This record gives sequence, C-alpha cells and structure tokens, in this order.
Amino acid sequence: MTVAIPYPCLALVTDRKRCRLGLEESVRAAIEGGVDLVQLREKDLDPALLLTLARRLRALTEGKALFVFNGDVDLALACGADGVHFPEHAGSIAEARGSLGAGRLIGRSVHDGAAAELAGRDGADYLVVGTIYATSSKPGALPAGPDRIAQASRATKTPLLAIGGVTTDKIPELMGSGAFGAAVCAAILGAKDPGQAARELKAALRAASAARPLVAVTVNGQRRAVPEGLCLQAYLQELGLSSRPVAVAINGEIVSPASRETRALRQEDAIDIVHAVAGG
Amino acid sequence: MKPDDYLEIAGKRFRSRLMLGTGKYRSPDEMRAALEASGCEIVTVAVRRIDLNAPQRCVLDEIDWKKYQILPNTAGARTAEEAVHTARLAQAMGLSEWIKVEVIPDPKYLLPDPIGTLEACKILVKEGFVVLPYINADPVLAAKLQDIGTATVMPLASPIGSAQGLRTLDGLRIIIEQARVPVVVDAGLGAPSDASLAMEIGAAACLINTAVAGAKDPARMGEAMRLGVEAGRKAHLSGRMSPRLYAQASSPLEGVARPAGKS
Repeated sequence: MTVAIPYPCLALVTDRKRCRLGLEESVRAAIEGGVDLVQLREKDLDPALLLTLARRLRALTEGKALFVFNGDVDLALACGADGVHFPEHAGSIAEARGSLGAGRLIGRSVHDGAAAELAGRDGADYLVVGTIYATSSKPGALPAGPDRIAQASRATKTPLLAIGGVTTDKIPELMGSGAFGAAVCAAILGAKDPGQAARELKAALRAASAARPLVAVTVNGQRRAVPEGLCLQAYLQELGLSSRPVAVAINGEIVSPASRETRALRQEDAIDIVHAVAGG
Repeated sequence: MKPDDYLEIAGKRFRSRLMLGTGKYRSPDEMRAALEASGCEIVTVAVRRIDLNAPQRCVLDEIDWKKYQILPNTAGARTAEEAVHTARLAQAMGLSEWIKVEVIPDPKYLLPDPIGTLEACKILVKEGFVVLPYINADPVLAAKLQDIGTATVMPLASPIGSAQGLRTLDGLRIIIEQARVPVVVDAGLGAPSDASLAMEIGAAACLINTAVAGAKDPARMGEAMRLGVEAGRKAHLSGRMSPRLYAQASSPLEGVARPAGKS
C-alpha cells in the first residue's frame, strides 16, 4: 500500500453548507490543525463542479493529508484522490479495488457488526462506524453509543473511525472501545476556529492513543492496529497461524521461525504472511 | 520398469518420473484423485499471501504432503530478485529446500527470462537450495545452469498451459545430449503421447499440470500420463531402432507358395 491511514486518525467529512467560513479555507485550517484524512462529500453538487472542487481540495491536501472522494471511483481517479469512500449499501469494493489497485484507499460506512465484518472481508482499508452520538448532520438517526464501536471491532480487524456527534470529550471512550480514530464534520466545519477545533480533537486522540498504545502496520496489504511491543509470534497466534506452515517477511526481509519471538512489530511495518497455494 | 530405474534428484530417489502441478483443479477431490492415479511423488505448489479475511486452508491441507516431495515454485516472480525472495519465503515455511525457479516478466507469453533465471539460480544454489530452473529449451542456458550447480534443468515443451506438445523438440534433444543433471520437460505437454515422446528422446521426467487438471476426468488423465511417461521411459531404455526410408518386410521373402504358372 502506498497510502496508509495513520494511527490515531482524525478524518474530516466535508459539508459546505455547515461551514462557517468557506469550505477550502476551513479544510486548510483543519489540516493545519492536524486532520489526517479529508473525505469530500457534497452529494448535491453536479459532477463538473464537484470535480473542480475535488481538484482544488486535492491540491490543498497534497502531501499534508489523505484525500478520499465520496462514492465515485472514476471521479476519485480523475481528481487524483488517495481513494474512494462508499456508503454502506452502494459501491463494490472488489470492483473499486480493480480500478484503484492496492495503492489507494477504499473506505466504507457501516452501521453494525455484520456490515463491518462483510466490508472488512471485502478488503476495505478502513470503516466509518456510526451513528455513535446524536448529531445535527443526521437528525433522524438513533445514536448507538460507543458499544457499536466495540461490536464492530469484535467483528473485524479493519481500522474503525467513529462518526456521529463526536466531540473532544467523547474521544477517550471511543478509543477505549477499539476505535482507530474519529470522523467529524460540524465539530470542525461549524467551529468558529476550525484549525483550533481540529487541534483539540487531535490532541484528545493522541492522548487516548497513548493510553492504549498501538502501532499501525500493514498486513498483506491491509491496515491493522496492533498493541505496541507485540511480537510476531504473538500476532501469528492471534491470527490462528502460529502453528501453520506459513512464512513471514517484514519490510521485505524474511523472518525466520526462530526469531518470531524476538521480532516486535513496529510502527509502519509492512508484513507479508504467505502460505502454499495450488500451483504448477 | 526395472526396479533399479530411479529418478534421482539431489540424492533423493523416486520411482515415478511424472511430477504434477496442483493448480487449476476444479476441486480438492479431483486433485487428490489425479495425484493418486498419476503415481507422482513430486508435486509443485505456489507461494502466495494468505487472505486474512477468508478461511485459511492451504493446498497442503488438501493432500497428504508427507507422501510427496513438495516443490514450491517462484511463479509470479518477474525478476531474479523477486524469485529469490519467493524462494526464501518458501524455505521459511519449513516444507522443502527445493525450489522451482520461474522468472517470468510477461503474463501473455509466460516465457522465462533466461538472464534473470540464471542470476536467481546462482544466488539460490549458493544459499543451499535444491534448484530446479524452468527455462526455454535453450541448450546453452541449460549447460550454464548445470555448471553452476542446479539439480535439474526444466525446459519447456511449449508455452505454459497451451497443451501444444513438443514444439521445442530439437532444442530438447541437444539439452538431453549435453545433460549431466536430470532433464525435466515442463510445460505444454498436452497428451500422454507428448509425455511419451519426451521420455523416448531421453528426458528424465515430465512435469504436467494443466493437461491433467483441465481434462474432463483428471484422475483418468493422470493415469494416462503415468502410462505415457512409463511407456516412453521403457522405449528409451530398450534402445529403439532407427527409422529407415524404405520398408523392410517382417515376414520371410522366400518360400512363398504362389498359384501355378507364376514364379
């Protein structure tokens, strides 16, 4: 994977109607404040305007934050986005992967453990789980509470971003429930100072992640958070692979079975776990 | 087969001179039946990432791999570096020191890269692998490979999976004539007659996958390939006569009783 979600991750979902300032100005400030990923989601804009906006946001995020486009793989590619984000019931992850390749992100919104499990199995790189708290973005949605994060994190190992009414004070319980980060809209865009709002959210995420130290790794092309200091052998055990005929390479170096106990997983390790398959 | 007619590779002896690939069978049951019927003792497998989202059975769960010499391949490698990496991963799985080296840059023709193959083999021989390189039917390359210490050479009969039979017959003959290591004809054999011909001209073994897996009845084709290989081997050992331009009667020309008046 050439792009990877950092841990902890602060994502911003756009809604230009909720901006106090202009959208671009708000996004620029939010990135300066520490937003890691920007999801362009302006469903009512016509495609031509949307593409123009997407290109501007791409330029603005380039080298500073990940940029994903909502719902449309072709437009995502056209604007040079880092990936695409799908709602729960639209868009095929397999087809998107075919167009985007392994080097770009595919995210999906989910609302329960079953959908999280399915999207994880389909190969999503991250999932946005909601609606956690009451939110003005979705006035009709029944808030599910942080239990939904816990439920989803039991169902899948794919990184989970909590969405829906997330504010700074909620971050500790979300991260404690197994979230990889949080996605917000009004909390940043609706703030008087979007940069400051982002800074506070990011600080809360960092503090909560320090209390539950994880390192972000990529395993067979998929993003995973594992406890800091976990050794490879323990991780293989967790995957049910410790006594299977598998081989492991980390960052392109083969790890001999004898050194699995001593090799601790580190931030941004790229792990390949292989086995024998039918072949000629 | 004479009891002392073994295929010997890197000090290991095998009764069967037919190796089978495990790819492309429609079901594990069909694969097992074909392996069984073919009498093969060496089977190839590929090395791939585990799908973390799916149940983690691997091909070795489907066969009794203690019965077989596992021959992992480096299929998918486009360069010498990738082939060496795959070989080391295969070794780290702890199943086999053997490696079928394939360096194939192009997915359309699937022809092996001679330079990359030679480079990868040099490294792997030094690291102690039992190296079985998949090559085009190039006698000069085959000679260089055996010089650096590969356990076999595995020239192709025709492109992988094509079932075109022995398109490289002349090259194969020279490779066999020069060989000090077993020559395994690999890829493109489509029918038992192809396998038999390869053995008749002196190949030490055949490696077949698609022609068996792709038959309507893989077990029966596995058996047919076994018989083809055995027939060809026996023919080779028997010292076949050379072809002649003119007919030569099999029955005596003298003493024929003819009707009256004829002589």
